[in-house]
Amino acid sequence: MKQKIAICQLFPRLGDLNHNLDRHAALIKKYADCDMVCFPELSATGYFVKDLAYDLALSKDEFASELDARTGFTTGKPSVIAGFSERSNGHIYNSLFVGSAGASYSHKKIYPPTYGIFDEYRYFSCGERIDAFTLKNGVKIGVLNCEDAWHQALPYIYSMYGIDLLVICAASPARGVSGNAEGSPWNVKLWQRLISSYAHLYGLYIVYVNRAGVEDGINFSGCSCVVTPLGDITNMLAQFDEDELVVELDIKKARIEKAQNSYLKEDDPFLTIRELERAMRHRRESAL
Amino acid sequence: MKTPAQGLKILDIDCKLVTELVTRFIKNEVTKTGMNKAILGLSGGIDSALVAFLCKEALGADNVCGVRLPYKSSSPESLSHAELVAKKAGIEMLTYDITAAADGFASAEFVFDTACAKFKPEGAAASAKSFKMGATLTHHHLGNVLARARMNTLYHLSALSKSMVTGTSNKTELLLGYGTLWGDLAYGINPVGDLYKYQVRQLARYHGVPEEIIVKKPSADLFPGQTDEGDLGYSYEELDYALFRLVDARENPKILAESGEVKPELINFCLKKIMSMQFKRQMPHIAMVSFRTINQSFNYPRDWAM
Repeated sequence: MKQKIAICQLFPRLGDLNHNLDRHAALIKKYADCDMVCFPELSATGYFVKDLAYDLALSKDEFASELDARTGFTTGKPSVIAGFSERSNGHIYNSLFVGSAGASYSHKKIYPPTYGIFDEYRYFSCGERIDAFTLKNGVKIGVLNCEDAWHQALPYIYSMYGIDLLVICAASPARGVSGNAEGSPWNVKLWQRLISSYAHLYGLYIVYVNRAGVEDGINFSGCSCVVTPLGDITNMLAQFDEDELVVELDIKKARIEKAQNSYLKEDDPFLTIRELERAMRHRRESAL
Repeated sequence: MKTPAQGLKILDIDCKLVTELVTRFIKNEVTKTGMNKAILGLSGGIDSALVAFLCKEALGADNVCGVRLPYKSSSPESLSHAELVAKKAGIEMLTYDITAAADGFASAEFVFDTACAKFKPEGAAASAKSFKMGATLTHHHLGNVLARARMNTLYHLSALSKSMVTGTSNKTELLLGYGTLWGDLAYGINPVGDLYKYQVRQLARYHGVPEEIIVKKPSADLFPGQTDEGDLGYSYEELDYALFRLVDARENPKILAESGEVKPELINFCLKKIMSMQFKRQMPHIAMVSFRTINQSFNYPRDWAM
């Protein structure tokens, strides 16, 4: 069982929805023979949107129609994962659009970061759900939006759904240039460590789609990559600049790996729930 | 206990990586506006020399213009060093002597149309009806006037040639407020504002800035013998180390002072400057009366749809 994926490490134009949607459509058409085309976080709007989060927000169905109108396809041929500002139930979310087999879904970013250079929670509400999606070819995927991936419970929960592939869309600003940086900003190394561990622990493929380019003086690090179920990082895309790559993942490998994975076999989620509740009770009581 | 010179190793940067980041910054932020050229004041010092080399790498030598903006008291060495930079980087060079502009400002009178009792310069007689502008100019004031004359020139040249005014203030200067508001602190982009002086020196060496420019004592060149370190009262190495520990490492000033690794009076000097000079690093306050106040509740990126 193969999954052919086009990774589009885009440099969106900040606040120019039309221009960005045109570029999405062109790439979706270019990679129409793939099973899936992946774009970074907020690929339709740019990252540092601030008040534009509100101005450029679309419902997931509107987003699907915008893409369909430009590609001439019905949503999800190939499956599409892209970042957009979503209007839903009167709130604005930093969402990932997942279009597959004529249906559209969205993953609303659960942890919009608000520290240091990040100011997302000022403009976006928090998502509250994690859903796995089964694509038309039977591949089970999960999606996480950048900061989500730094909350280890989320990949863990996805592992309970038994996903084959985790797609992490990101807009990771390049920073950390100390003398021992070895040519890559510090955030690139941190991401690689993180996703390499997840892939290995949960026996799944990870496709990390980061964005490129410069916005308001800030470089994004690119370096999108594929992580195998053994935790090896393969197929690294360009650092900092736009890049595209098509990879073919052998989903069978993830399933074999998962079946042999002793950490997963012996893991007891009910113990986690029970003991987590006890630890939280303890934390609450000892904080008094 | 580490000496500042040993401790400064923690400020070391990966020069190739920083160059990749900064040249992309320059290229993107210049071309997004529809321009393709950069213009900068070439003082003959290390900061503008480094920016010239970085701009050259980002935009190509013939899209970068260094402007020498001497005043009559400027040292000939500053002019020759600026020329050396332009030649070595291969960029275009212009010279505009700001003496007439600055002296014209100084030679005009300002006339008190009303009593202006509270608005007279210090030392002016209560009965004075007018004042020669030049009589009010201390070294410090003259420095500001010259910086603004240079800014005026650069912005006019920018409009004439559709090129981006590129700033050269480093992180040490920005944190300490060692610059003139609307003077050298006025620019469209700043490629080196997140680099301490120590890091500027490291990157300048990497880019082949002539060694005599790297090793000479930094100076605003207002009068013979003036140096930044004389003005500030500390060496750049001391300042960079203290600022790094306070700002980047976010260390508690009290604990840092107790550690003996940074002199308490230097810590106090830095903290006082960082706080009191905050106004030079931000846009001015606007009195808020609505629900959509610019930069408070009307927040858009600078690179809006660019």
